[in-house]
Amino acid sequence: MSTSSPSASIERPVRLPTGATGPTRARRRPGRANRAPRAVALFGPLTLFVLFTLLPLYWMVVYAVTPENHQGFLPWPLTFAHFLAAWNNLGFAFLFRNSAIVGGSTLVVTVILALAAGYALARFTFWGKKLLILALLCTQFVPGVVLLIPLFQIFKGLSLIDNLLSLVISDTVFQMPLAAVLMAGFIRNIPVNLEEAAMVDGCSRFRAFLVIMLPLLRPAIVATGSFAFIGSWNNFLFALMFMNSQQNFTIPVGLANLIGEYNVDYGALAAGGTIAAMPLVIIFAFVQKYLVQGLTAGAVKG
Amino acid sequence: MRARQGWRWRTTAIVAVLLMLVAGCSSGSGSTGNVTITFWDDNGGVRTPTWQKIIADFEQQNPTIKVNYVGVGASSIQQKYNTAVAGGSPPDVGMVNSQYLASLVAQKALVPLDSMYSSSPLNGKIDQAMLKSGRQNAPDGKLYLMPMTTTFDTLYYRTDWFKKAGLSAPTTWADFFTDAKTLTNSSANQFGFTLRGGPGGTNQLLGAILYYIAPKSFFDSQGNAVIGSSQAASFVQQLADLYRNGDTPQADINNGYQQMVSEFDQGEAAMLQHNLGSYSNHLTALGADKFAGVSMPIGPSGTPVQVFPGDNGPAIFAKSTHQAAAWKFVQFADSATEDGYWNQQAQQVPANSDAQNQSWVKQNSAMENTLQRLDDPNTIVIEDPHYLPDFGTIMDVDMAPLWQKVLAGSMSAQDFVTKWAQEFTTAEKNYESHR
Repeated sequence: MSTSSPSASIERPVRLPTGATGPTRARRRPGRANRAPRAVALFGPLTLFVLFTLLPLYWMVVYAVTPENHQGFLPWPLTFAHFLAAWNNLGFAFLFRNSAIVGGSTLVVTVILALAAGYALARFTFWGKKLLILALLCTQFVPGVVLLIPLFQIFKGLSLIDNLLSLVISDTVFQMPLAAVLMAGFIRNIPVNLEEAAMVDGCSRFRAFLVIMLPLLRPAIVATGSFAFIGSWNNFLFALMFMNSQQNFTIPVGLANLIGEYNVDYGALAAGGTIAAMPLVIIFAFVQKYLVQGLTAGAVKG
Repeated sequence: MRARQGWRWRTTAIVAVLLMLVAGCSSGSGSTGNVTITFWDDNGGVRTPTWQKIIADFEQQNPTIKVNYVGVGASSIQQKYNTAVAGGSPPDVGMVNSQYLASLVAQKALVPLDSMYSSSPLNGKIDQAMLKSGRQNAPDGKLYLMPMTTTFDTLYYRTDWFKKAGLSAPTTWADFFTDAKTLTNSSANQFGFTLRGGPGGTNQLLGAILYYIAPKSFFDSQGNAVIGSSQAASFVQQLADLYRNGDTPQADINNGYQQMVSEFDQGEAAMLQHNLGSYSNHLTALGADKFAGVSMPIGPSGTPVQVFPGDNGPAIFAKSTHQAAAWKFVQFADSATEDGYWNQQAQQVPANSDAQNQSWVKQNSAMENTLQRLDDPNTIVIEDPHYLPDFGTIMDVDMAPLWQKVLAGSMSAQDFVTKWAQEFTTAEKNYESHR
């Protein structure tokens, strides 16, 4: 593996005559006249983007913390009545528990399966590998609603209707293919020599994977795990269709029940939405660093 | 060696945790009575406390029957029924609406209730028009849905605005259009009317056309839909003109019922066409002294019309293994006390005739007006053809975008009603040929 070729051109720093202002110098110390357009060009789109993204969330929070029929942009006067209504009347405690069980279990199972499948795709050569990757990607084009009745019948046959395990399985089925393909990309970026060195020192392949690879894959695990958790946390369709008792519903189904045939409890809906978003915000605050690493690690082939 | 043992322990621990997780996911059955029936509510969340009270009363009177309540959102119930029926796992009892009754009957999902009803103490106590509607919406004319409630179109209006302008509540469509123009002051964000151009808009429009043209039936003797007439086109054009001339809010072209109702409740519109179901919203938002509800205006023929929107009530599913217990629950829910209680909470019209005479009905001006119109011997009672399998497709898929085109001025009202009538005529002929 050659690192450079004789014909490859390498940019060398150009020494500028004293007093000359080259582009590098101009970049370092922009003139006062250049600062304003640059700030507008940089912060204008960013501000618009942040407003576009955060305004609906802000609106949700305002609805959640102000009394009914409140009009205005500021969250005043404050009330927590909607949170109490959502928590007590809707039974948010068990909705939250169910969503946490399903989301957490989906995350764990998806990551374990994606690690195994991703490792196989990255490290082994076998017949039909490309076809398998294509098939895994193609599963992402199939909408969940198409598989609703077949899945329903399978789960009924397994006596898993109205059982949270059916949600864990179906969510994992939908999250795993993309997670496996992403994981394979991450694993490919880790030099195989590291594993081989561990195996020369007496490690089995499995132990080398656990001891050497797994710590290096932390950003990838966080990235795929986050996707799996969010997908499962927000899944409405399967939770609605496969659960047949109030105590097994998840947060999206509970929130949908606040939209009545002729009326909508916007306050409780916004409060419920705020509560539902909290875990995701907190998780992202903690894993943000790994998530960015994980998302960019597989982007450029080394 | 030591490391390997450590890994064995860890593997065992992981497997144990996974097994515990699986066990934790399992739902318990937990039946305390001899029989447990499952009941699906089609408007879960909003109606949950009402049903919980009715179920508690029922279980107290029938200690051997436990009812497992499942509240499902109104917008998802039909899909949940269809999936459960196709998957072979429907509930024992479920609240069913006329609009999708035909589809469930076609799937042989429901039990006919005719013989059970004829030998029940409820016999003779259920509103005849609602029973007729229930039978009419089933392809084989049998009774599958035990009517429990219905709700009628009402014209809500701001009493304070009308009084200030020296107007009285509109009784004819001519008054309606004049009043809508008079009460519009767009600079003060005040409009004469708010219409529904978005989701569900065609349902409301169809009703309004029927109130205006006052036909004796939806199809004429040749099986042609009557809504394609020039009179219907003229009415649709007048409504569209209200929108295009700024007598309704500009956002109305995309209004669903929530947006439309909130425009009225937030004081932007003087009049609103909606059913009795939103009465309590207006009461909360505006107070009893600022609004009232009247029957829908009368058209040029002078004949009063009441469009029957269909019923809502419990039905028993054919897969139920506890049909006797399910029927006991249905009868209990339809009794005067419970039906009255349910409808009082929802501010809708009870099916039980004894419940219709309860004092709370008289206190709701909109309902009282509607019931008076129904009692009028000159009133034509007409129903949308919900029984047509294509009804939903025609209304929501084919015609809804065209209604927006009419409002936007890119389609003529005559072309619109002609197409609408043709679609209904074709659907009716298909339905009759397969019947």
